[in-house]
Amino acid sequence: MDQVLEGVRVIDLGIAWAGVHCTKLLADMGAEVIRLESPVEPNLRGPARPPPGFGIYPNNDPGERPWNRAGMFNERHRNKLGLCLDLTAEEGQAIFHELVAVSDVLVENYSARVAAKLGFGYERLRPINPTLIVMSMPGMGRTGPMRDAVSYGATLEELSGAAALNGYPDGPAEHSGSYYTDPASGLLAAGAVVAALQHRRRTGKGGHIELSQLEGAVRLVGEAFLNYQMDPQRPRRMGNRHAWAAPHNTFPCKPTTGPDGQASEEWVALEVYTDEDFRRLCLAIGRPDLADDPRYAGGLDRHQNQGTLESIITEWTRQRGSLDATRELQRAGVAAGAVLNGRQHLNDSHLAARGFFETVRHPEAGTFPVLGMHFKLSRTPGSVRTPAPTLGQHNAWVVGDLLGRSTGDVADLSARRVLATEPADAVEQPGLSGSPPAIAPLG
Amino acid sequence: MLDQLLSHLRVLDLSDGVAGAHCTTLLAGLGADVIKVEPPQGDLLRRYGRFPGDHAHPERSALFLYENAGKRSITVDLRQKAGGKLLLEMARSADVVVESFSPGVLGQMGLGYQQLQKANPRIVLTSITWFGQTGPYRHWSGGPMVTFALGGLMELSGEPEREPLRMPSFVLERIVGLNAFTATLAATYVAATSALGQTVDVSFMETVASIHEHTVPAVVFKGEAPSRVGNLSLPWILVPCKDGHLGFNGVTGGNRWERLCSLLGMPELKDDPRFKDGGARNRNGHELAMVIYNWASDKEKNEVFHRAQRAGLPLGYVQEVDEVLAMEQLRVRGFFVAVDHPAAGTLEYPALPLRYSDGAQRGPEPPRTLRRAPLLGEHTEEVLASIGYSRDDVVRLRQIGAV
Repeated sequence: MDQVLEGVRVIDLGIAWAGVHCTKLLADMGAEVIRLESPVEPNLRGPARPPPGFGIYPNNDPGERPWNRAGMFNERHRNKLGLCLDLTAEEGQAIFHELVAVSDVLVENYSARVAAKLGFGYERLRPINPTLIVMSMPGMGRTGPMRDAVSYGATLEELSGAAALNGYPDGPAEHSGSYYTDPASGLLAAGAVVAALQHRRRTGKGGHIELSQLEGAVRLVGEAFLNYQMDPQRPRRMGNRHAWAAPHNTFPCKPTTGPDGQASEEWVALEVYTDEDFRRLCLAIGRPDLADDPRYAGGLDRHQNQGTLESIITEWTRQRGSLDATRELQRAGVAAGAVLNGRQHLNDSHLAARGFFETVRHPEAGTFPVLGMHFKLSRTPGSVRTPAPTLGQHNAWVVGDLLGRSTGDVADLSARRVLATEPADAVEQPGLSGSPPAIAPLG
Repeated sequence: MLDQLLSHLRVLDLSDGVAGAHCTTLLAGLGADVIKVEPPQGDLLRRYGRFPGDHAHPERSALFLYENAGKRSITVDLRQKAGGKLLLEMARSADVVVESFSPGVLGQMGLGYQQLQKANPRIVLTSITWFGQTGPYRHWSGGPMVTFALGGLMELSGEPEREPLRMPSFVLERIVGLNAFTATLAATYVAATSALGQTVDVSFMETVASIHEHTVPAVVFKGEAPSRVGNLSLPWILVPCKDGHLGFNGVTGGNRWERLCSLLGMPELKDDPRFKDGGARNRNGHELAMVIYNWASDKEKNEVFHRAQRAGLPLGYVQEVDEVLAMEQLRVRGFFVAVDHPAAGTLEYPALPLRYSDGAQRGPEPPRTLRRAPLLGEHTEEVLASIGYSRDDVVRLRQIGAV
């Protein structure tokens, strides 16, 4: 067995990020993931005629079929097959049910109400295939007064208490900029799906897993709720300082000039916990005297006097670039890390040595690097095997080869746009529409 | 039902720190038998707190209690020969070992994958480190902020005019734990049919890199490296309001734009040349953010949130810790579970964010449950007895400090 989930078929009905991150992981682990997309507004492929500056396209060129060149889509959906099917059409529903009958897993992150309306409530699917595992991962959960609320990762950071804990000491709650609740939910969901697959293998039973993304987000800051019960005070935001360890912060380095002639600031993150860590830091920055200074003798002293320590450290960091600072400090056994910018990240030597970034060749978007595996398994490593599908790329394979419809049937369904390879806004007649719909880029 | 999914798995958790603990508490919640192997002086998190009344007590640390729900605990000094031998014997009837030693340390103790595999060919060894088992940084000193920085994601966090911002609480540690959770289940899934285990390499830096999709496509296709944009950048805008903060998330695009203008009571905004289409709104994003900022300043979060959601606008609002604890959406779903503990008393814990049914059950869903965290070494005797150690054996091992 080469791949963890070889032979497992997944129907991917995920939208935005959380749901599709789950299926990304399943696909990376070798499952056959069929991404089921709507012909009306396929999620995250962008508009048929993107306004200037919109989205991410190779060389900023949307090309003739922009929906097949969307940068984020092509990162997220590698290793998957593409079925573009109109679920609002009766025949679309029929095909969908036939697909459900021969699949192992279905992943969706709609609200319960919308999922049922679109025809994939568990009560509807279970009779078709009792061994099916359905992973429903709505933002708010399937029940409760807010079950129909629409949410993004940013919303979940806000509602979960995470945003209130995030920010500078003198500032308000901050968004994360990374919207981590989405991939966190996807990661947890993928694991839960594999747990259900293990259970199914032993019992023969499928089932319905519900993951509330809001609850998952609360879990990410979970100790705060026990802390509060012990001491009912709202915690204060600390920026990059630490509750008890010092020095612990980011420090400005010598700015560098990029290839475009622009100066860009650089920062290095530093974490010092023990007396021994502190001693090594003092030696590394040429200040051995500080190691014996009573003002910084113990953790408590260092924490109280961290302002002064930070000034001293800053004098040192300002004289070198962040990569140099990192190397010097790490050589001395100090936990330090440059805040890498995008180019530095893509070219990082450690990720390169570990083969983290993989290369994919896409029929309409060229050859480019994509993120690799979340984890490394020694015997059944995953890999990036195929590019993200073009819209409806595998319509004929799914409906014809897998579900056994005739070539004539497939052609007929395509002619009537029950199956499609172009989004609706590409086929509307020119001159009838005003400016193309501007769709907010989804995280 | 949920706690039957993994009732076939036994996990030995040697890890310290939040990441490994978070991974295995999740496995325990799904029914795995998780045996936490603590050093005789106890797990690190027992010293972290918070503590009731701020009095440190190894059985009353909030962080430990939260991250170790559902596990058993034995104390073993792995560096002693007798301790190491004990672990290898336990490995014979275990499916997984989770550890977070620096690369090579477990091997130096004679407990690396080669030795574990001899005891049990199906064993899965999940190793959690800052930088991974291989690569030029593998012996570097790490930490959650350092790896967040080196993983490239810290560049996107915080306000543009200020220093980049780390993740709050133990968020990154827990995401690493989720990564280890999924990776471990992947490896045990394969071990069941192949009868062979493997090693699992989970690292903070690669976890960061894996959840970080925003940058690579932009750099590769547009030649632009994104940086932090702060709270006032479309489409994710967080602004102060009368009684807190409101999140205007993804509300400025497509058919939401018109509804936003209605919500703001500013229908004329729709035709304002600065904001007339998506491109214009992006170009003048800061101005639009300021319009929203000024509008929200005297509004109440709950009122606006409900009005907006009714109009199909995905607004949010910042909740403080106590507001989350009181949140009806969570309470109605039984998400906070009261768990009693002999030393820490009764506290409410966030349950697992998962529910499972196989469709056969009828009637209302059973309430969620959580088993408490163990006392230090609470299960030493019971576990040793289960692998054939006599009472005298245990006494002897205790005398030499091996358990």
